[in-house]
Amino acid sequence: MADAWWSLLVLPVVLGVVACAAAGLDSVLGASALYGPARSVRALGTRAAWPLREAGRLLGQPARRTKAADTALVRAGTALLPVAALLAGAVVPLGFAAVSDPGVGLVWFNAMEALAWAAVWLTGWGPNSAFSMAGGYRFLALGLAYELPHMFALTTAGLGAGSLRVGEVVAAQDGLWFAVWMPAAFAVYLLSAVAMAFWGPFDQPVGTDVAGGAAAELSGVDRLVFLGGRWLLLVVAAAFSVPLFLGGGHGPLLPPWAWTLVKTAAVLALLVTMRRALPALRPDRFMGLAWMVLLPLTLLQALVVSVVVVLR
Amino acid sequence: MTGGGGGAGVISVVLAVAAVACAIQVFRFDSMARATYALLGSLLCVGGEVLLLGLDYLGVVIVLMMTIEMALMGVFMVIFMMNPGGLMPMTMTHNARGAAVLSGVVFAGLAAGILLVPWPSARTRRPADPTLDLGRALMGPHMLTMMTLGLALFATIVATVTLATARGRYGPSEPAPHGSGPPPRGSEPPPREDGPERGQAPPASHPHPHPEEHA
Repeated sequence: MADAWWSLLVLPVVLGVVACAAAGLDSVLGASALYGPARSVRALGTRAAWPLREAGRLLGQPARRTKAADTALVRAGTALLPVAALLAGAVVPLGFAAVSDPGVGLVWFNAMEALAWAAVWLTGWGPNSAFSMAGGYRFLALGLAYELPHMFALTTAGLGAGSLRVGEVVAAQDGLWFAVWMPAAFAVYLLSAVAMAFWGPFDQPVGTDVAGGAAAELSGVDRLVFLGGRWLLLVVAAAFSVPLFLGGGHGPLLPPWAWTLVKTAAVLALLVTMRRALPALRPDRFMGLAWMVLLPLTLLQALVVSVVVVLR
Repeated sequence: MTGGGGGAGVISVVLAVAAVACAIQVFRFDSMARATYALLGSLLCVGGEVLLLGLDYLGVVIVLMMTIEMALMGVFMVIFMMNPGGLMPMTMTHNARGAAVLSGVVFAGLAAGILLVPWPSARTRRPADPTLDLGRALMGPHMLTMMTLGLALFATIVATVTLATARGRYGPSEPAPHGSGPPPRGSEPPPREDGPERGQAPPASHPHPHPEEHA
């Protein structure tokens, strides 16, 4: 357990590097879809480095303000998204050591990623623009749908370990990973991880049919902070599935931090490729699926896990 | 989450002042969106105070619930309240004198209660798990009833919301009985692909055919 102060500085760097790698993968997939496979390794590298080029471009781009925009709310919203991701990432262990391991780590993670609700709505509302407001509202509708099954998936992992502390959830998976005997909770968690970062099939809040949604009126540094924060949130959500369901740092041969990175990379690759494999789901239609199917499913899974825990 | 006695005291005073300042701003902001998030700031400070009491679970759950609630409350404030964007000056206070008298009386009563109640001595040992002890003290003999009630409330909320929103905005997911929902596709004329014909004026600028009828 690393309670050293320097871990707080290492966290954004590690998350940023992983986010750049994931964004590079997404860029390679997108470029292959548009232009066909890369013709050489150098072309592949150029495609993979697109996120860095885009970040540089956005840093140099002048900021745009719409008329009668609520600038304070825009700045608060865009800045809150990466902050929420970093705060949530503070309880995610690398190997077996996290920045912090409070006794209520699971609830802390849930609370910090709930700040994204406020962040996206504020970013959508602030610029006084119809399309961006529609994007912000869409995210709240999406949040209503995924949040309850997400909470029950987290609760199920805590049930299996008998504790809300992330370290104890990891320790309880020394023999058998939770993903093996809680598959429904694992699947629902992965879906909610994609939804909380409004990625892939759940990207209607920044969808192309509303001209970019909540990010429609953002340019320059604001856009970089908001979309970068979205990537950080996706990385943190994928990384948190590892200690929750995939055994954390447990594994043969490799050191624990390497296992964490390998497992996180696998989950991230799955989530990133989900974007181009599944069509966009409208939030109100997903609400029906989430509350009628996923919610009873997670409750049943929690019941099964409770019975197992009581009986063993 | 226990700091040194002095440090926790300073933080609690800072959080209290911040909470009151945010709460005052709720009534001073013109924009409903700003008022909602000022309220969120105030409630997050309250969550911090609960954390300082050693009630970790309750404090973090307050942060979680209040964030989601204020995000949704903002939507309702925008729907139902005047001046959601804050583009015009307005005031949200009414009966200022009566409210000042009433709140002064309540404040005096609460302050008198706080100062006069016999608090337990500082030598009482802090429990190892304050949340567990608080839960037992509040619900101890009735724990099973409370848990059943909680589950029943949750089931009621989910059932009522799914019943109320069985129809999406663009019609139900399943085919509705005839007479409800949007008209079936194909009954409307197909849209013109090349826009208005050349030579015809666009419909918006065409003069009203019979203006004299509205005399």
